[in-house]
Amino acid sequence: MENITDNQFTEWNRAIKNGSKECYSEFFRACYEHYVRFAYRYVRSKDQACDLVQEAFIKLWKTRDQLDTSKSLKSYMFTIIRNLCLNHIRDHKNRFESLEGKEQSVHSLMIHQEQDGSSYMEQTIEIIEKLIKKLPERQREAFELSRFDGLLHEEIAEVMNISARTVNNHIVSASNFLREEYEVYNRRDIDIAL
Amino acid sequence: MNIHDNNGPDDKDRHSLPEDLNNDLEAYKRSEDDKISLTDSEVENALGNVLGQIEDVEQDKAEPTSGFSFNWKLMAIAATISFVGMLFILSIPISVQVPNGETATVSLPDGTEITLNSGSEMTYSRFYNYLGRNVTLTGEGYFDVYSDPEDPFTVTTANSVVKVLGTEFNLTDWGVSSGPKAKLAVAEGSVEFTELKENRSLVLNQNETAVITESSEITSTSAELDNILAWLSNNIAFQNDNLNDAFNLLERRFDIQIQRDQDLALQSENITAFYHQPNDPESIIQDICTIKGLNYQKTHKGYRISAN
Repeated sequence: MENITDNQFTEWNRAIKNGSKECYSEFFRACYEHYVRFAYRYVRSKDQACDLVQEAFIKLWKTRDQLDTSKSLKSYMFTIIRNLCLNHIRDHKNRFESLEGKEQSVHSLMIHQEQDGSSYMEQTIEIIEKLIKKLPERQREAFELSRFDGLLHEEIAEVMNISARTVNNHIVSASNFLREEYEVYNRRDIDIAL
Repeated sequence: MNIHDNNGPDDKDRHSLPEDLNNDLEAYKRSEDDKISLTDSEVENALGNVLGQIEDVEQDKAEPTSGFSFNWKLMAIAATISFVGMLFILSIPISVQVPNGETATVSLPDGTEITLNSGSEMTYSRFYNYLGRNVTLTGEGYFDVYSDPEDPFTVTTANSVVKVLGTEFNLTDWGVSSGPKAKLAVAEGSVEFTELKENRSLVLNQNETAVITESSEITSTSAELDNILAWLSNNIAFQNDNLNDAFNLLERRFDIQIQRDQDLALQSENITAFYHQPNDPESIIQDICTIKGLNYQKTHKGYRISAN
């Protein structure tokens, strides 16, 4: 999705508003996978993520005459999908998983990793995953939207329905937290090597 | 789809992290992406499914509606009901509620801007500009009021009314029963601060602060404006605050719950401290507990404070 220009989104937005199914399909083919990955971050199930993104696309078509051509189609879709995901989580309450992740400390996690034989890369990815899961939910959302979905602060503000200043605060806090925790982990790594 | 690309302003976030962390974050993102790797036929099937459902909906819409004839009497009744309903809806004020852990900025039609702290609520009429500039507040807000000498702006809280013509000020009133009832700090211009129970008033000027005490008196305080406005920059400043208020603040700011054992005399213990953009409540709670000789434990939703 990163290599799609804003102009392209604007063009799709206008065409979809005018009822062009070709452009709608084009938009779907180009962005479906990225949106599914985004939804997956919330619902942690591939099938569920696919269903929710399809539902979002149907919703987009049904309400196409209300599309605002001055706004970004990209972030508008993120907004719809995020709302559907949050509703889904609320209705199915399968959030305990992520809470468990939060309780576990980085330290206990690193000890656990020395024991099993997973590769260095796997360990690194697991550490990053745990660090990200430890972030407060809103901070994590803003951080991931910025970094993994490449959205601008203003776009994130729109998606999360908060002010751009709060987005910035969230991202700065998240970055600080990750940097600090990551240093703790690296220091320990050096200790072991010594 | 890769994450590194040319999205200008966001690059600065990326650069603010050490390079090895950046690389590891990208590795993590790639591994997450690998979990959802869709084939062309999966995408086509999904698209087919979506287009199919869209067509179903459109066919339903296209079916002619039959058996409907105009009945003017019914129409008139319906119109009246919807008119009354509309008036009713319009009379409900607009309410802005800020969840814990966040702040929000509200722009009113006249250009007045209000920043609300975590857990606060503000309401104002749908006819804000036409029926006077009045809002109500529960919690804490920073007001940057558009200047209009003809039309004063008022904020009403549980315990106070603040009346201004055009200034900037910070007002706090959580509507709680114990401790100071409301606090006001003026950053620019002057305001009239009125206590509602005894109807006492005080005019405050730039850089002045005042509280309404438990006994409903208005007294000027020597509190530092910078500290009062700390929350606007995501900092935390305790200024001789009692521990109960301090814990309440942490609860709202970090969206956590802090249980307090009943035998603790938190109301009578005060604390003064400044934290620059903290993102972890635990270090603050630890500091407070160390200084005040208390104990804390982590709980499912936050912390529990007990005597040593």
